[in-house]
Amino acid sequence: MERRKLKVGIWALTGCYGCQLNFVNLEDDLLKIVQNVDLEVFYMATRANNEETNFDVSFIEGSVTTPEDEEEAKKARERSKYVVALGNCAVNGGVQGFNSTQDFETNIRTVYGDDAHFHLPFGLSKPLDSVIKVDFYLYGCPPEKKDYIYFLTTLLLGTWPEDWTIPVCAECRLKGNPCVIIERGEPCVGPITVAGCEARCPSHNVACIGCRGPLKVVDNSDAMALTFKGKELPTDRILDRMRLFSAYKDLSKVEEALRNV
Amino acid sequence: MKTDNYTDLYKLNKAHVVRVFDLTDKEKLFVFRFDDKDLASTWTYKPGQFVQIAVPGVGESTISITSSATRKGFFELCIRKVGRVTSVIHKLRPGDVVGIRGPYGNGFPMEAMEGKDLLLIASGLGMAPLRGVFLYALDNRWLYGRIALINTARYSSELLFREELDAMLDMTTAENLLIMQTVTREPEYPGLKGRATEYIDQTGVDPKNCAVIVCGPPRMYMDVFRKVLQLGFSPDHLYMTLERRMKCGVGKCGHCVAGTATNMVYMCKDGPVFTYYDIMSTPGLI
Amino acid sequence: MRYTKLRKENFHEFLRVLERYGKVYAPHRISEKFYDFREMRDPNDVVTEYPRTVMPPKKFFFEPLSELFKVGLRDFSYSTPEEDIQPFVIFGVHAYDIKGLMILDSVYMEPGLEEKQYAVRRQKALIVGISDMPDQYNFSNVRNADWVDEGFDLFLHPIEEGWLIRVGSPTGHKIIDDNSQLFHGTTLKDIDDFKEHEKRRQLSFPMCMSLSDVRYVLEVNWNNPIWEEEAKRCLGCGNCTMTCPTCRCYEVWDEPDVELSSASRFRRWDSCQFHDHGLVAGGENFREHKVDRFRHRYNCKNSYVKALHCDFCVGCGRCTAFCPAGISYMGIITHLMEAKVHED
Repeated sequence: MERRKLKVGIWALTGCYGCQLNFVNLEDDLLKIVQNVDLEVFYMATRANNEETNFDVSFIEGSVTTPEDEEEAKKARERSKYVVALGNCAVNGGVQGFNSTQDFETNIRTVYGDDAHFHLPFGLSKPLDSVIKVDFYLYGCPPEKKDYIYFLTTLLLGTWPEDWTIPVCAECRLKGNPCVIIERGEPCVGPITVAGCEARCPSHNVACIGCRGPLKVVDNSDAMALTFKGKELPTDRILDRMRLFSAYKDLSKVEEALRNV
Repeated sequence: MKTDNYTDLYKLNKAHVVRVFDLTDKEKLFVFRFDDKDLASTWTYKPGQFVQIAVPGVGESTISITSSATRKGFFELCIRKVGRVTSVIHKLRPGDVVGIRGPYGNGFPMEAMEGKDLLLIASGLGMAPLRGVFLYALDNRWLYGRIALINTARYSSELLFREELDAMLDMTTAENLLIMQTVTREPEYPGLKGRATEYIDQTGVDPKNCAVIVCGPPRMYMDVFRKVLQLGFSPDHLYMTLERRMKCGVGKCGHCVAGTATNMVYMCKDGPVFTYYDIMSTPGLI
Repeated sequence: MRYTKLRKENFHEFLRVLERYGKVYAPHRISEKFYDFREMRDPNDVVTEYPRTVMPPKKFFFEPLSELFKVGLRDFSYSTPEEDIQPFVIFGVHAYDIKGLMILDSVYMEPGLEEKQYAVRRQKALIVGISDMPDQYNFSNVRNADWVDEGFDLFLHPIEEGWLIRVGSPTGHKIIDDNSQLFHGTTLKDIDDFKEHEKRRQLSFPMCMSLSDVRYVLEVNWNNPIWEEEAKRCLGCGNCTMTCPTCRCYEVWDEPDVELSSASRFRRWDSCQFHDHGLVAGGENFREHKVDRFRHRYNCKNSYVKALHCDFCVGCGRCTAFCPAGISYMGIITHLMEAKVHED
């Protein structure tokens, strides 16, 4: 089959640019990728961005926090065949969305006090799919390097990346790790978190904090909460643990499960 | 120690696209031939069997064979564009290559049906495996009694192999055939309308000596079986074919496992062809 | 069967001798509460008493993650990874795990459909079994998997002087004959020790019941409310299946290389507890709800291995011991057997 170069945009909204940085970290592989890919927009790597072209795929990093973010997301969407939410901020709103249950004004005053002045109009950090249609999700904080390659190569072959639908526990077992929940009763959210990191933290004997976000195809967070409750974790800590990387996740099921304990 | 006496179950055999026909908006018919001469000339299969077709780098799909092995040297697959792999297959043109493994599955017991009338009922994509049965029976015409085929779909534009079947109408009398094509959701369609079950009593097959083969969405199977049993057909010769997400085709990967503790079946190895009795004794099969 | 004796003082030497037959993998303590088969570096680190390893020995034959083949995207060249599989030894395998391997053999080495990747590794492996002392989760006795007559080269049973060894294969005989300085004839005292240990062991099994009708118990209880109740607690993490010695589902996927010159097909263990396990083309899912998946595992584990006339479950207790939610497999089965479904 004939193959033409893929026109790619790597855009950034409100975030730490870490997802873009990890793309740059591909180093040698990056040089191989650009033989098949034209990077028309890449905020972190160049100022010569061609935003007016049409994109085969746009990777958008960061959460939607300012009106400019929303505009930019919509602009990218209009010009792109596929949009990929790049990294946890874009997928779930990121850590900065954490206190989404309180209004923005209260949060600002809590942190900066009553005298602080902000000129920029901005609000709570939201996930990308709250303002535009997202075709694919590239999970992680930041995503794994191999995922960038997988996304680009599958698109180049005329198909698309398969979504991750298995939990971190799967990869944790494949690695032969002990289980930190069973062993130490720690609040590891591996069972409800999207795999793909090869259980990076549990492999270092550290509980998973859920940076790849919750599984989209299935929600077992109520069972997760019951397990944590059984390990005598307080309710607010359980909820915080689940909200850390997924501020907008509906936790009503969790709250109900905990009420009925 | 002996080590190399096992064949590689997962080896892809290179085949190329010979021709492509558009059937409907979603389905295309592909004619393939193996590049290896020996394989091309000897590869054979039974009606109702399937292959694993791979586009390297993209993945593999399970597709039932829609041709009959009575003609050698090529095989045909009717492929609906539905996922990551089939979308790429739909872009293939003559000369493009794919990887094929198979044939897999039990297939229809065509020998056990010899001497009987055949009633074939296809709905939607179910016509793909049934076309293999139909062509096989036509190529072995003397082995079977009257052959009736009911092809049904929601809309006439979704009737698979509609033109091909229409073109066979001229031989129905001479060959003791019946071909009916009916649609369920298109009132303005000039041909037959309604579900296949409404036409079974008009097919002219002998209920006392007839094998029934059904292929379509799983929910239609019990409707058809109930109807034919009510019409006095024998429950001993009711067959259907099922699909699951098969990743290996050889009874290993477990994705097609269904049933209960007393009857856990691998669709790929124990099926995809099952009988009326299989359905009755295996909850969860359909 | 041939019996011989290995004295305590010769035990480390025996492990060293095994290294001559290949790399030795043996039970090691990998954390406070977990054990696993790991490569032996120092015989002192090898554990002879352990309840169960987190990963069953299936990992040596049906690898957790592997590349099946590579295909050239331009020339369609097909190649399997250069695999130089050297003979290896798995030391310290419990009876239920040996039974588990025999059950896996019935699938992965089914006559006519042998999987090369599995079969080659199986042929290269030497299995040295060891007697286990059951803990509260072990019900291998109920599964007739507390004792094996075949499937091992050597099998060690503790006695006061060291180990009474059963010899189970020609390779086993050779190890004994080629290293006769390490082994001694058994005495009547050794036999008494052995019998005494077996008696103690049998009395330690927490369950004593028959599971011969379990398949029917499961079927008639298809709609028992306990499925919903217990599935609610299930995390869907897949630990029960990943650690199961007879679970064998796998998932495959293709990955092109960065230059698009070739693509590899990989596979990893899969679990019926994951949402997409029962998904088919077009988006239909045959086990859409957690309770469907939860109940399916019980049915599948208790289905019949025709070749061996046994169930797939060997009673190792891993699915209960390694369930983060604390769901008890046998708890559910005994409930299904005993609880009334009809209310008067």
